[in-house]
Amino acid sequence: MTSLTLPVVLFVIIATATAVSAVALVVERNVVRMAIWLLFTLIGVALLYFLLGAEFIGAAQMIVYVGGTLVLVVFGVMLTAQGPMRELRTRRIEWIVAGALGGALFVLLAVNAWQFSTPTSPDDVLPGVGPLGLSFLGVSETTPPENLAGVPADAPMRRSPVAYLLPFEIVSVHLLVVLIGAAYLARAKRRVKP
Amino acid sequence: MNDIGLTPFLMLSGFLFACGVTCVAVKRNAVAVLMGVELILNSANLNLVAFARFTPAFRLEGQVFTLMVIVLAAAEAAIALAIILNFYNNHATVDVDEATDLKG
Amino acid sequence: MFDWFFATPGRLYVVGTLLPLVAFVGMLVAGAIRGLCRPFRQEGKFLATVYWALGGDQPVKGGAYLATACMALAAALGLAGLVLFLQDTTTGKDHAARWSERVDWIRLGAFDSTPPHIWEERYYDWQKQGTHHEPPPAPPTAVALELGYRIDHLTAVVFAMVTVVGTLIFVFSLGYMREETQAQVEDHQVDQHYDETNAAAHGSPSSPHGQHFRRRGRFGRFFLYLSLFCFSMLNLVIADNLFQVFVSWELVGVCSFFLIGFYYERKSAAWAANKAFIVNRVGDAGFLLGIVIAWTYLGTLNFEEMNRRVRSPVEDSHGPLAFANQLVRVQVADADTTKSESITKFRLPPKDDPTAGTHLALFPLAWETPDHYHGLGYKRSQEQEFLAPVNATINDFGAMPYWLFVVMGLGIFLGCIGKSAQVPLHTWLPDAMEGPTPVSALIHAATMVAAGVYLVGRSYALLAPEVLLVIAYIGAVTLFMSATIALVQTDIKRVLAYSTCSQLGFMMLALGMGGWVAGLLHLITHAFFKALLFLCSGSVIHSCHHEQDLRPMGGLGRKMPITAFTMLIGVLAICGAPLLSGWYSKDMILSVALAYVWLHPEHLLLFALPAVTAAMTAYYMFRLWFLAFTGQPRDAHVCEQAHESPTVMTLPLVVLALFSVAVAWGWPVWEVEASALAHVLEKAEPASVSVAFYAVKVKEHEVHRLAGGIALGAAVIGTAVAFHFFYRRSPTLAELTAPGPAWYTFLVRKWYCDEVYDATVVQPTIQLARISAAVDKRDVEEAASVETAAIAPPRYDWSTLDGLLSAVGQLMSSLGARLRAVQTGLLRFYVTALALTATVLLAMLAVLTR
Repeated sequence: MTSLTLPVVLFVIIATATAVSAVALVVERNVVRMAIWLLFTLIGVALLYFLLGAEFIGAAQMIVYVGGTLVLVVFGVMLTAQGPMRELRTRRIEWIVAGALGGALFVLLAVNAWQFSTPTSPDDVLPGVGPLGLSFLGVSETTPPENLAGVPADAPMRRSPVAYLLPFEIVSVHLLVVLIGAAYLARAKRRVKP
Repeated sequence: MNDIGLTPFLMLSGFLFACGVTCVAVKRNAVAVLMGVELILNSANLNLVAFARFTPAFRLEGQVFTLMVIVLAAAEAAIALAIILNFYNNHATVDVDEATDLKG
Repeated sequence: MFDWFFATPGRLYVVGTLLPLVAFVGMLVAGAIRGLCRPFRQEGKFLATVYWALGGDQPVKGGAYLATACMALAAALGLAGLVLFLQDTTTGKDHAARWSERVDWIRLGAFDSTPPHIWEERYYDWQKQGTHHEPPPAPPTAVALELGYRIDHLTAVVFAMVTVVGTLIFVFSLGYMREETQAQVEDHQVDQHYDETNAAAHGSPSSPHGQHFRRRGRFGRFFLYLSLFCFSMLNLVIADNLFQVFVSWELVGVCSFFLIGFYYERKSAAWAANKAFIVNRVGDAGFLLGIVIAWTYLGTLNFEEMNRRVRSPVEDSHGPLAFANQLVRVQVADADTTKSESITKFRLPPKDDPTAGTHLALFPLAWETPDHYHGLGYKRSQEQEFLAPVNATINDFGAMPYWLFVVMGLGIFLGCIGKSAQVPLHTWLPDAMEGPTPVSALIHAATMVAAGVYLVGRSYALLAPEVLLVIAYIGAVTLFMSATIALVQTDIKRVLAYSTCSQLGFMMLALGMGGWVAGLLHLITHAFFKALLFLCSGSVIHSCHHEQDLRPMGGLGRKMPITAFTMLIGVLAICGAPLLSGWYSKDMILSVALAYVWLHPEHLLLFALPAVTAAMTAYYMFRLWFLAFTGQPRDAHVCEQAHESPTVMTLPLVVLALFSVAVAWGWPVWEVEASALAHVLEKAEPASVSVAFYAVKVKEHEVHRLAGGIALGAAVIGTAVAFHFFYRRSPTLAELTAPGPAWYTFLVRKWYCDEVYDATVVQPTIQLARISAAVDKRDVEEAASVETAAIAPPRYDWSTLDGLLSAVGQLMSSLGARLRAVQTGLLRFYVTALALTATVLLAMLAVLTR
């Protein structure tokens, strides 16, 4: 049995909050309120990142998702909500089917997850901003941490000199393309009367 | 940290994924569908970071790919919103059930 | 540079083989560039320069000189190689290393497999180490198509012959084909008819009536084909395996096709080319069958390895073997396969009946333990047995059904029948005379048609006694039939063509009766004098404005003395006049035949036919010579402008005449058996010949004077008859053109072979094709032709093949119409389907990993 340490308590609180927000997101009808629930979910996930020790990822999640993507979504809601809001109702049978499907997916994923025993992991934090940034710049981590559990002290370096300069570049170019594409697609056009 | 273990994170990730799929499947508002997609992406991210944390061999990779997914999700959101706006301009609605022009 | 050559002087031959290929490729590339630059010859600056530099509109002569130079160099290499080879004193492994090499071409089977000879070396290395801690390297199984050469006495002599004759014919062609260097050549044998149809096809106005067809000269193209032919022929000669021979075989065949159809505007030339090619395909089908059987059962196509596989080794580690160099027939020892299904036990048949064996024993190429191994023999009291695994490798004992071995030999020989124009596939060779005369000399007299004889000599150890008997009879029938036809032919080249068939029959006859040296010696001598005869006839044709009919000629000897004299030498040589090269080879053939018949009186025909044919040979050759060169011109129009050919054409004649006289000389000159060339060839004779035909060889020495006398007497009789009819009586043109009695017509029509083939093979094939075409015709064409509608019920194919295909198409179409409903266009439907799929997959995963 797991003891009731601080991380466990924190995990239970945050995970519950996140899960509840996600469920609320699904059942909510109003799009604006959905956006709020999404906000909570994203923050919850970011907090879990912090809990896992990935501070940089958590921060990025906060900034990019919460600060960027979500705002974009809200803009989308506002831009498309002009005029009389029509009720977009889903039929009950569809709810039942989708809910059953989602439930089945969750059960199966949970069963699969259950079969995973936790690997013996080093009880240290994940690499921080420094190694991460260096890896994106093409410089890989060269020395293994001193106290890798299960690794003899004189073991040779485990990590092959692989760095992520190329993916970084690919993502950059991708983003550029996306920005141009978005600007092109969303440019002002004459609106067709319904 | 080890007293939580990998499994709870995977369970939560699976739960978020299921929620996202359900959201995409039931919502008729295109923006809401987009939110479901974001949820799915987040579940995957959580998975990646959790494995990065608990598997020594992937300590860096998990984070790197999470970052990429975040960035790509942002890009995807921008494009999707642009498409939604275009669709709205043309059809004066955001109901995805109306978007059946490619019906076979 | 020289060290490299002297280490492996066999590479001289490789270089010599590749030289004509170099010329070929060079001319081909130059021609292609010229053709590509042609559209820009007016404006494009650089391209126009290239075009005019490569000859422009005028057929270029440089390529021909290049080809001739390459050929001359190859001849020099061939002669140098011959000298080096004859002086080489090394033996055994060193000799093989110096004069043969092989590389893999396509490899099947284990990656690390090696040919036996390399494996043997490895084994000796292992033995030398002496420690023997590790087991000896396992005998690997190499199954590979190889590329290699192996020089022995036969190869060296034939290579020298081909290159020398080839060079002389190249030089002759420089003169003979001179008119092809003009920008416009008028083809007198093609009237405007061809031009009109051709022009109509191209939409250009037709030429005025009464003009002959005009075209660009094809000087370069002629030498292009000749170079490719020489490369292929030399490759065939030096090849050490059957597959390489087959590839070259097809290459020489296609060159022959190109060159017979050189004047392809003439309908007869196009037909002749097709005929030669198709008839040869019949033979090649058999050849291919033989190769497949050899590959399947013997596991190798290398000549030497195949020989070692089918012939018993000379000795095993217990001493000499009684079956040395013989085919060993065995029978299945126990019929029940209870012990092991993958191994069959064989034993030797009872000693008093060696032909009772149903199978042929195959011997390993490399013994697993070279120190101690057993061959096959009747050494012990009990009958010796051996085991043959079903999946035997080339290093195991094996067995193949004897009848398949015979079929293999017959298949290979069928290829030789086709190429060497033996009955029943002989009909293509006389028609092949449609090609330019140097081609007839080089390809259809001296070299390519001899390739069949060469291959029989090469694969001699693979031929069962039954096959050899077939070869002898085919040769006998061919030599007789062709000679009878040659008696009455009036086309100068056709006489020579049938004489070629006949002489090739002599070679085959000798080979079939164990006269290996005699047959191949005749191959060499015949190549020289037949090339000489053809070139002389070419010289005559050249000076008589392409008149080939003997009847209007006459009295040409005074106008072209060199040609007449050299041709007389050729005629004497082919008749077997003493001290000329043909005398040696023909005497040997006849003495072999006489010895064989002496020992096997039931095969009397095998001596009677060649003896009679010797007389006929003398008759028709002297008839040709008298008709062309003596007496008075029977048609002044043909002969009035006849003149001696230029030096470039007469020089090869003189050289070839010298060769025709002296190539087989030895010391003393008047002894047939002292021929030096025969002694050289004898060194390459397979050991199996002496074993199988020992009695014939002994007898041959006893009877050769008698046989020589008979041959000489026959030749004298033939000559005397010809002298009487065509010199003393000197017939008039009317007498010569008068229709003869029935037997005369029978011979003129070549025993009606062409007619029979046409009726039995060609016409049925064409009719079958017509019917098939009629069945497949569509409505439109059916309506146009009442005749075909009567043959085929309307839309016959609509209910069969077409109907089936349409049904498949319609099925797909209706399926698509149904499935299209699935594509609702609803995003959420798709997502649900996707999620469902993922769920099912996950469920499967969960179940399967439980």
